[in-house]
Amino acid sequence: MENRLDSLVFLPPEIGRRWKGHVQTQTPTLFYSNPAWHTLVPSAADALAAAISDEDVTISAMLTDLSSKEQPSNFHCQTDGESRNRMVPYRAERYGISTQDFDAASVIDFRLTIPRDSDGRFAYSPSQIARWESTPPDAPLGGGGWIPAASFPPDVPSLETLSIKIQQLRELAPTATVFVSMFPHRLATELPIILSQKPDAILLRCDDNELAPLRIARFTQQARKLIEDATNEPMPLWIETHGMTPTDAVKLTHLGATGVGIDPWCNDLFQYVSETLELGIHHPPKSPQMRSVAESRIPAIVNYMLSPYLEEFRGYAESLTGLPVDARIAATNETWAEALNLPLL
Amino acid sequence: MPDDSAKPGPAKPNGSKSGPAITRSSGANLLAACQYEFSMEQLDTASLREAIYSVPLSDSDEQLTSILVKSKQRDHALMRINRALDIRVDGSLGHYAFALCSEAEMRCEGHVGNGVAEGMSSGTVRVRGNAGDGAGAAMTGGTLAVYGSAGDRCGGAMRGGGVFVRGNVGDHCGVGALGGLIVIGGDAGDYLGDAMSDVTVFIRGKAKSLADGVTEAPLRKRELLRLGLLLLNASIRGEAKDFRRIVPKALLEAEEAGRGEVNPSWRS
Repeated sequence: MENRLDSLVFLPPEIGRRWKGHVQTQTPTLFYSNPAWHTLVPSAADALAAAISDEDVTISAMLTDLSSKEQPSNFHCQTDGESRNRMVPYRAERYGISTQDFDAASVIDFRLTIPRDSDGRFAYSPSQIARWESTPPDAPLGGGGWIPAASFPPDVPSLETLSIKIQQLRELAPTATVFVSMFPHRLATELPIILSQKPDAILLRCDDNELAPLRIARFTQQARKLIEDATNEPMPLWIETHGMTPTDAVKLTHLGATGVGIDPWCNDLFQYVSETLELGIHHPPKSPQMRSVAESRIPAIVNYMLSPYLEEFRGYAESLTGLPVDARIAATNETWAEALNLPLL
Repeated sequence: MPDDSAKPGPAKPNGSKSGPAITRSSGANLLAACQYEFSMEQLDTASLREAIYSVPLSDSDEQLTSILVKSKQRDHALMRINRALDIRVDGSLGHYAFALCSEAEMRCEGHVGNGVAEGMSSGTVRVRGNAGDGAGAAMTGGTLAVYGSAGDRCGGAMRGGGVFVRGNVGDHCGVGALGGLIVIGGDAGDYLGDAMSDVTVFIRGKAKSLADGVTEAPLRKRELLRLGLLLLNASIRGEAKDFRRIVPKALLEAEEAGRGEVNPSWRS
């Protein structure tokens, strides 16, 4: 992973600035938006979700992602009273979702985005559908092929009538913040309409790897401006990106994001759990005992592999808060400075 | 919304002096027989749900505890009722009525808005009048019967259960549905069955157009029998032989090759 926003640099405090020790900060939220839970055996997915969540990351998962008929989800059905930050991926088709998903959810991610499968088509894979709908391998739903993904919820007539749906989600999950997630490509036309429908927050999915880094930075800044123009109250703006490093993520928070997706930081972790710990659907554990031993190692592995990213993010984020807003970040070339209205170094 | 296991104190049955929201049922016909009555004029959405959850369940599977809800056309009414109750609404409801319900037998004497019975997983919802767009969207089980007509994307993304519409349906009926059954007593709009998978649509009237990838297929004997029973069950008049069957082309090809129910991987 390389720094994609390396045309932006962090500025040190100017000489003569008073020394400050510990700075009380509100670190931006980190969230894991699109984990491929279906590639792990359900109990391992459940253990991994809990372990990442314990690192103070908001996890996107449905009950069906993390459980099977034989094995309930501990992450989802906590009984100790301390609920973890859980995000419900509310897709247009709602494949796999159940009513329990709304209980104690902290975020409803109402997706107006359409996913691509590994081949680039707008579709869900048979293994995703099999996990969500608990179908046995010899009786797949939809004939065993890929399933086309929807571009808009079937029960919403138009973007202009979205507010009734948003209100429904609030009624179903009163403890949750209802995000509307969207692609940034038509931000200037689509975001104002979405904002007029009064969501609690916006999630901008800039995870298309064809989007240039400057474009993503600009989209973030534009989205924040459009939100400020449309609402009087501060509204959360979360950004999901492709291949951003922790310092890139901090730079996005300077441009207006209040939460950043960490999917790229978890790729190696997922692969390790799947292949090395042999907890993947294609590398299943050879016995329940081996599975149990492997799963018990997950928290330590998550801490070892994810902590460096998280600490770097939190450290840089904290360093910014002690500085005046206009003296935190500068651009190293004219194009970036002009596009983002930042000082040129 | 509170947890389903939450059980507020019991409501009083009809005839008791328990407060302004609960009164003796005085309606005629079906509605008169209800054991409990609540008014949407006096209860907001959450309070109404809480009141319904306070009603004791019947010991008998055949005779459910019955509740009459005096309606006020409100959105998001009677969502996520997951109890074996017989609930009757005396008028119309707004959008997302009966969404995410299970186990209950629900009846609405008027019209409903968009998303009626959305995400329902078991039980029955009957609507005397018309339904808006997305009726029965993302259902996973149970039965939705609309005795009037339904709007666009009826049965969209459903994964199980059955939708019966006595009248017409709009465009994109059954779009993205993975499983279940849709019965249309009247006509359908454009793109019937778009991106549909393990779903069978029975239609009595005409479809303005079928979506790519679906086709009309002859009704087989076992489907005649099945449809006849379903029509009886949903109180829809007519004979099964008046209907035609709409299925994905790939499914029909698999059927014709003798693979249909033998090999469910008919897309492979």
